[in-house]
Amino acid sequence: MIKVSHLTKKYGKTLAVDDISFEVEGGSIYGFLGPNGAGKSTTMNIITGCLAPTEGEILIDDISMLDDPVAAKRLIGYLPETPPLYSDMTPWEYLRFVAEAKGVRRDRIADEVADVMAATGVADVKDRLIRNLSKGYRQRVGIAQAMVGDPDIIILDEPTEGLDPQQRTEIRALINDLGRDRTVILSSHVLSEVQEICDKIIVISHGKLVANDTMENISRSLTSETTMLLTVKATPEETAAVIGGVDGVSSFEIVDGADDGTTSAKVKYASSRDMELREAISFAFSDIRRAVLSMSVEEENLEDIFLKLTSTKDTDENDADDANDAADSNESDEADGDAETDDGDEEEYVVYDPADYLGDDAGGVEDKAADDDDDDDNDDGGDGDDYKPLFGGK
Amino acid sequence: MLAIYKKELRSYLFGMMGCVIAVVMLAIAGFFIVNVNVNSASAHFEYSTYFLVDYFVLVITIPFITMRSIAEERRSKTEQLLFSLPVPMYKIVLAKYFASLTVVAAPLAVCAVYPLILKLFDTAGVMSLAAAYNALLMVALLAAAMTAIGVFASSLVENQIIAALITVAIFLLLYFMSSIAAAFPTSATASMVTLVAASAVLGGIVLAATKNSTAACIATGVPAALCIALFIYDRTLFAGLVPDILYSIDFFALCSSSTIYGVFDLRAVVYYVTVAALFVFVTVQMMQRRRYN
Repeated sequence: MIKVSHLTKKYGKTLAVDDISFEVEGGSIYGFLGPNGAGKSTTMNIITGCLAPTEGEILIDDISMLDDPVAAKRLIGYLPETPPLYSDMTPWEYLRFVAEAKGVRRDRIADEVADVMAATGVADVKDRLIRNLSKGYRQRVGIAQAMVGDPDIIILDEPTEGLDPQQRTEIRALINDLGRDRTVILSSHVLSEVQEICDKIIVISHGKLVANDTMENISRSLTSETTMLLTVKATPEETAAVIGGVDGVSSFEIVDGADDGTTSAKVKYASSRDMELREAISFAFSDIRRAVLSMSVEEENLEDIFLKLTSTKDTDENDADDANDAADSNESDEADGDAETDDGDEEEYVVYDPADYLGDDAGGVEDKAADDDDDDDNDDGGDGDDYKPLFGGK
Repeated sequence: MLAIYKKELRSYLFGMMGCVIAVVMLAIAGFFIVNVNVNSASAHFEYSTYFLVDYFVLVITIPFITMRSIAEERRSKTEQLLFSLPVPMYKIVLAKYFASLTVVAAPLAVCAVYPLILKLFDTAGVMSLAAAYNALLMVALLAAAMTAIGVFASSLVENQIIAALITVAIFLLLYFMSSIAAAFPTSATASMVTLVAASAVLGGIVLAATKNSTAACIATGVPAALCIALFIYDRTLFAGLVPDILYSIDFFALCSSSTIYGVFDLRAVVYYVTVAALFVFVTVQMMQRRRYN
């Protein structure tokens, strides 16, 4: 639906957007993320035709924004970062103007404006001057403006910025409604909001695209290891011995040994072997007749993902390409291995050292890295070699 | 385009600026008519029309109308809405230009009734309606060109007051063009140096507008080289050249002469329409440039 190819934007000598390419599929809500100054608004402005790119091409439903901007703009509704409102107009007058300017048929204008006002909840203030409206209502009028003309694509630049929690909730619900039958791209600094609303996320950092995929896939591509939270009806020593004996566990820690005879542990293993390791751990405990009370995988939240993607890296070309490859390749499990072979990324991950929790006398130390050498998924640079699990494998 | 035109017009009228300026222009025009055609019992409506030009009425009022045209959109960030609309840039500029021109021309349209009223009292039959309406047409064309300049100035900055000041400065420069021409040295060397300097200014404008140093060098180098080559070839070509150019493009003189003498001057029509078209075109380029920078 939207195809961005090799988009570059320079302001004088400053490179705001650096050769980014991505595609946005129809019927999804995309979150556009990036630190301040990353190039989000610039990219949005270029996609909507408000800015001209220095290089690159934008296709909206196969219509080039550069060659036929009028036709391409008909397919897009846009709410810029600052809602472009005429303060001397009422919402009714303003939306009528936008409808006329967008070429809505004259006999449809009244109905169309009434519909978007009802959808955005501005009907009750339609006769008040925009300058007298609260920020929340202004934002709604801005969104209503983007909806006028029933465009297939709606692009919203920080639509909930500056709103109170109640207004945010309402706008989120509205965006969810919009996303049912349209493509919506929104940028936001509120990551939980993006996590809640968006089907996919696009991350830009320092003008470069660093990810474009579902959150799950991006998370998987960034995380070579899965951390499982395990609770068993066993002593800490038994638990440690059993887990340590499971082939494929790269590290673990005993979190808690409760008085009721249960023990909690965090177990780390290669993400690609999730199901296999769950089964192995479960069977290992059943072999010694100890019950597994719960197994759950620690989910990464969007903030963790965002920080991994945008911080500490200078986003040189390789980083961006690698991340994109990783994001793209996560359509299949096989591709995970490719993503996890990136050197250096794992430096940011915390490896729990059981020695810190269990002491040196837990026995059975063995260099498990050697076992993992054959495992493509765990071939991740220096960390694997450095790690010496306290409880050796079989 | 029509939607933007109507929105602009509405904004002028409800924002009071359009109404205030129209009232001021009508009041001043009424004052001249009362003085010239009633109190002095002159049958020449074109004289009172001429005073609209000669007494800086247009020079003072038009900047107040055009100053907000584009500058205000930039200041309030609403230009992003215009840029995102499925409307070509030239239509946006034309809509704004015609809205401003409507506000400027509305008082002149009201003034078009006055010759008919005066004619009712022309018992001697000496009043020429043709001369009267020729005068109004010339002033309207002059106002159309001035409005285009004002809209252009409004596209340069986002502060309305600065836009108005730039407009007034351009108008005053044009108004005193004949005085500048008269004071200018007539020597060939002075003309050649001035034209080379003008080429450098042109290059600077091109550089500012396009950020393209090659285009700026061409805009400076080609005319400058041509001037120098012609000067070396035959320096007499340059004797009094700049004053002659200034006289021939004297912005207000064409309107004044054709108005006061009751002559329909096709040169004036072509000149003002060309100036209006040129500045609308340049304004479109300035707006496009905003999208590229």
